[in-house]
Amino acid sequence: MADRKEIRKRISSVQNTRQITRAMKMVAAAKLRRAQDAILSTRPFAYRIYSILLSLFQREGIQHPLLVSREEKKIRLIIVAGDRGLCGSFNANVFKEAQRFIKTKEAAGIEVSLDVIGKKAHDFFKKKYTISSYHEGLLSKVTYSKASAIAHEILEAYLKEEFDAIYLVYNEFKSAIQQRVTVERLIPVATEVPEGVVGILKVGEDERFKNYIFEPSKEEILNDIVPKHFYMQFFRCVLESVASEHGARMSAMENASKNASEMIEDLTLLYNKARQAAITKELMEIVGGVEAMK
Amino acid sequence: MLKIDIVTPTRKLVDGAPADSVKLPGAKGELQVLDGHTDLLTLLSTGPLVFVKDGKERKFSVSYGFAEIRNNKVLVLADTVEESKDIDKARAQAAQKRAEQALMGTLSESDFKKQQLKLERALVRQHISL
Repeated sequence: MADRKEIRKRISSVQNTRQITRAMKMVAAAKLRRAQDAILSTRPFAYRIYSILLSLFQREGIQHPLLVSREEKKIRLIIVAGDRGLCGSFNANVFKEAQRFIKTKEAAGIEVSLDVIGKKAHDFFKKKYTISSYHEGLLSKVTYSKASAIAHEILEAYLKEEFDAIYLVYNEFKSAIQQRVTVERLIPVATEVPEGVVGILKVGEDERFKNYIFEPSKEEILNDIVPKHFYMQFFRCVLESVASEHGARMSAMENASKNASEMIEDLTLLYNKARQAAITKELMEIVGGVEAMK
Repeated sequence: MLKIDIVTPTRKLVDGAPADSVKLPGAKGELQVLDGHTDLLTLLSTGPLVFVKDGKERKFSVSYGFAEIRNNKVLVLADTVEESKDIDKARAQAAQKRAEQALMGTLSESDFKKQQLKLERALVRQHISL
């Protein structure tokens, strides 16, 4: 029979662990709410920019280098994961998808270079691939100015034709308990109207820009808007990834707490059995002793 | 009557506020929007944005943005917007000094432009916080 003292020690250690996982769950839940708000508050700006971009491109037929596809010989993949672990398969899922993506592109003879965000992703990919740049310190506090500076840097390299397309792999935020790893092509910008945003483009779109004055000119306005659209997309993806990370951590910690509770139950049962066995044994000894004295 | 929206990447600063007139720092110089203004899409330079409602002014500093005017609605989309009451004057002054100092030295062309823009923003911020 297991040592009772030993079992008691284990019970209290599991209890401590449960306390930590519960606290982490609460923290993740609070951060998740804030991260969700951050995603929502980027929408008005992002939608309007995209609607003006599409209108200029489709109705006015204005061209821009970032809207035109080049043949893919070299591409850039931006990998967005987390700085920290203890969040279930959040990081591992991104790594898996990124590796799969790289493999299929390389099989087609396309060179892939990497931009990495998140310490975990850096640790993982530096062993197997060469990383073009690792953007540290963005995830601790994601701001538009930090995100757009990084996006700007990547865009400059694209304009110098260092690569022909920009893809991004990240955990898309579906809901607090659901994340989906997604690969998105950010550049060249998709110009076909995506299903989800048709609503915002419908309102009087045929009339749009009919008698407009453009200052300084349509071309220059588009020149300004297209990069901004890219920065916003990048910003949104990073924010979604952050929200997903908190969501994943919340579920992981919830599970851990549940497992800890189960373990405590099992151990307590074991402890009680051991105690009962010891009592029974003592009684037997006493009875045995009395018998012997007769 | 005009309606004005001011939106940044992270929030809606002004949501459909009524205004009698709006002054904007357009790409081709300052422009004033009154009731019945023609439809317009313009880039904005760094500068003050002022809108008046019943004689009351609200002032903002804007940079890197553009504005759309349509059906008496003014929509301003800009990377940075600050309302005059939120501006920290001492910080703006410090930023001005820093930019001035940087401009004295030798700089690459892109850095020069960056510092110039910083100086401009610092000056606008101080100007409207008066």
